[in-house]
Amino acid sequence: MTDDTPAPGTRSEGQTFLVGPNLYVRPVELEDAATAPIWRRQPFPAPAEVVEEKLKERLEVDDGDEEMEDQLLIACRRDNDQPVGSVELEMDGWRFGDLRFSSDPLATEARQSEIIAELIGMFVPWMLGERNLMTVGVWSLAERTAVERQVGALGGRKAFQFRETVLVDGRRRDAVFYQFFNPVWLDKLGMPAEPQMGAVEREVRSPARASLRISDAGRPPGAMMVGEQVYLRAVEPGEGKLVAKWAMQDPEVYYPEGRLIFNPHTYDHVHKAMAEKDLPTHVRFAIVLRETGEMIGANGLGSINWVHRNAETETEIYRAEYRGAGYGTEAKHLLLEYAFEWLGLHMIYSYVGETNPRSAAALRKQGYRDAGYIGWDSFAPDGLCGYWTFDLLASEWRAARDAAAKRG
Amino acid sequence: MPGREQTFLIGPALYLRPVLLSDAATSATWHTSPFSAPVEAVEEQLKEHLDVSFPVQQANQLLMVCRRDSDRVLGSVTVSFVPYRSASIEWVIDRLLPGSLRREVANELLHILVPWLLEERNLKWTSLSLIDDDSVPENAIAALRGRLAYRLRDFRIIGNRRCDWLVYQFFNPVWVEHLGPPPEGVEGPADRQLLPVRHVTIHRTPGEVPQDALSIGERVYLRAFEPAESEFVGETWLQEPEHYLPTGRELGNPYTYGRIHARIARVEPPSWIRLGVVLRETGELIGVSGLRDVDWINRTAETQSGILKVEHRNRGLGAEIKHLLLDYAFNRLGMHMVWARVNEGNDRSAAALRKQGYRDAGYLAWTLLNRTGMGGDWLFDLLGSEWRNALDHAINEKDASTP
Repeated sequence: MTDDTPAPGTRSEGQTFLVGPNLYVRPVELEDAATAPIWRRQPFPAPAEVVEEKLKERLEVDDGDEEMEDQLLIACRRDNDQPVGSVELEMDGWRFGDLRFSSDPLATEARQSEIIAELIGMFVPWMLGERNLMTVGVWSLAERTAVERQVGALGGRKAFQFRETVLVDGRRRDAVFYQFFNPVWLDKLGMPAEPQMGAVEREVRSPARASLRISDAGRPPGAMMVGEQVYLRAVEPGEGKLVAKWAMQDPEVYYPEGRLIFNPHTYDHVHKAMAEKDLPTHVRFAIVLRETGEMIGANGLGSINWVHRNAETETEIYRAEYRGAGYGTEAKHLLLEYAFEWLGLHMIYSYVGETNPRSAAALRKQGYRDAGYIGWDSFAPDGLCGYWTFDLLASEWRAARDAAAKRG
Repeated sequence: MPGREQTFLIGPALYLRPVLLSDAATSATWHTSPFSAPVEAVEEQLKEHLDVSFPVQQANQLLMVCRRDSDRVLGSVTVSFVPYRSASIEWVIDRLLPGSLRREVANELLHILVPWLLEERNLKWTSLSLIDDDSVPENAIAALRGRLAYRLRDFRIIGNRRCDWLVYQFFNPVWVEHLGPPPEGVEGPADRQLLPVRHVTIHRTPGEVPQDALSIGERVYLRAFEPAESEFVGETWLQEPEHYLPTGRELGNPYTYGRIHARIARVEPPSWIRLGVVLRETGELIGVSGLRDVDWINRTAETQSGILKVEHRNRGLGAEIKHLLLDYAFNRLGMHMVWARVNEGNDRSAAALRKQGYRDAGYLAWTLLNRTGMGGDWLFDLLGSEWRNALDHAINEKDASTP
């Protein structure tokens, strides 16, 4: 019997791509479960057998394309083959690619920054030059000098920066999204619009009001949060039919992808499935008119991260006749109060398609800050369009609400 | 009018009744979870809660708080029983009600529940857990001969502030007469300065083992506990020479112990986190540490720590392990505070917690039996801000002493 384990430092020999001066990248293997704290994004301990189970769930898919479109790769040192981190590579329709790096949290900050810089240097040219993608996006933490230098050297730019998004060693740090554009497409289409970012330190003025306390006699039984004109409650099964009907009757087009088509069964199923989780990552409310009890829309918190205490906000007013009348803003402040004061979130963020200036204006009015712009993210009537991004800190929202209360 | 026919659990304005599946429709008024849920999903949860054996249902009562005049639901009460001994009460009052009405409801519930548990069910004692939001006046508690057992600081987020968690105890006078008054706990000052924390997590140098470490100290490191290690743990339990717990030496089935560790790790984010403690020098597993009842909304957890073999105790390893755990809890998971509970009689653990910076939060009397009769539990708390200040203090001291 022969031992076919390669000698340390030899695994990258012969590898023709995704090899850098010090590191190389390879697909994750079940054996990597043994070194999970180095490369896993989740900060929780897990026995090797549990990590293996999770890897099998991820890797044992029926369609190989599925794995190719959302890959987990392990970054290793060339000299000894030891893992130093991981790369999550998401291919969005093979037009755009997003990269999310994890590096050993016990390595020094400078070392982590060097690792990620080298990985960016391997991946971006490969994705633009060999995979011929139009854009590549890279998530990172702010204030990483080696990363910023690498981004500059490869002609990338900062697309947006969300403030105080991530908890690292007890300190809140900003998350940054860098974008790299394929020069072939820049030649054809020209440079996308420059990101605009609002001031980091600012005073927020918004019509934030505290939710109401009411007598039990006047209380809508399902209400979680009550405002002057609307209240928020759970979306009930059966309402999917109404939403599907309203969506098909929508006279306006505001998403870059056009009007949405909801299947009523799926709509109901999704809302019930969310409610079955003890600690959900997505919570959603129906927005209901107090006067008539009529549901007019829905809002919610998506991608809730309970460790870093952030989430994405979203709102839909399904019926055109209720848009632009302030209901969405009142419902949003109820949602923000819920997010910050009931769930204890630290910050929230939002994305708005460039074709939807009304929503962007509403967010600014509600106190959100312009956090930047993702170029070429979708299609629009005149070609490609981007997404504006926004953020809002709990502390800013509270200060705005207190100031609004003082003003009366 | 069900409330009017009822013979007990009824007050001047309110009555209590068992939860029904139809109460799913008003869950926003009484549910303990802060998340909204469709009626159908709440009904399923209720069925899970109620489709149990009779003893289990009797031991965990979920009761609806209703108005006598309209039968409207204003909240809920959960009463958990330790058979023939004690009960604990927690309630939820509709968060949308005005403060004055909430206070009235709380006061009436207190006067319905405490006499029922002590005088009709003849329990030795009952506890009541409350948020420090003035919903129940101290004089109402004193009138029922209740007393504050312990206080966990900053335990809950209510609106934009942190509130303390207050646990009161009410004792049955018959048993006070038999056993004498239970001992009282001591509460340390809420505002205080900790001694410097001298143990800090160190960074992994390139190429250094161990690769499975989540947190590394000078002498030990923390990593996931592997289920296969439970056999070794089971052996150390049977070889334990010391007897320091009032409930006696630990005895568990190693297989169950191992599978529990695999099961809890599948849930993310977890409500229970367990870590194996390894001696760096030898790679030997010497203990198990963890965070239990992790509350991701309020960001609180109970800390746990144990050293398996007697030869590793009293060498300062426990403090190093605890500070690695606290660093993990506060700095990586973002916990706001942690707490600990120690059986009365386990003086070594209590002394260690105090040395590690925990504050005496009080004492829950008559929770267990010991050699002299009844014993209790000491409670401790520690804020993330206190621990960080102590760590900064140590780092500044070190910097100042460096030439």
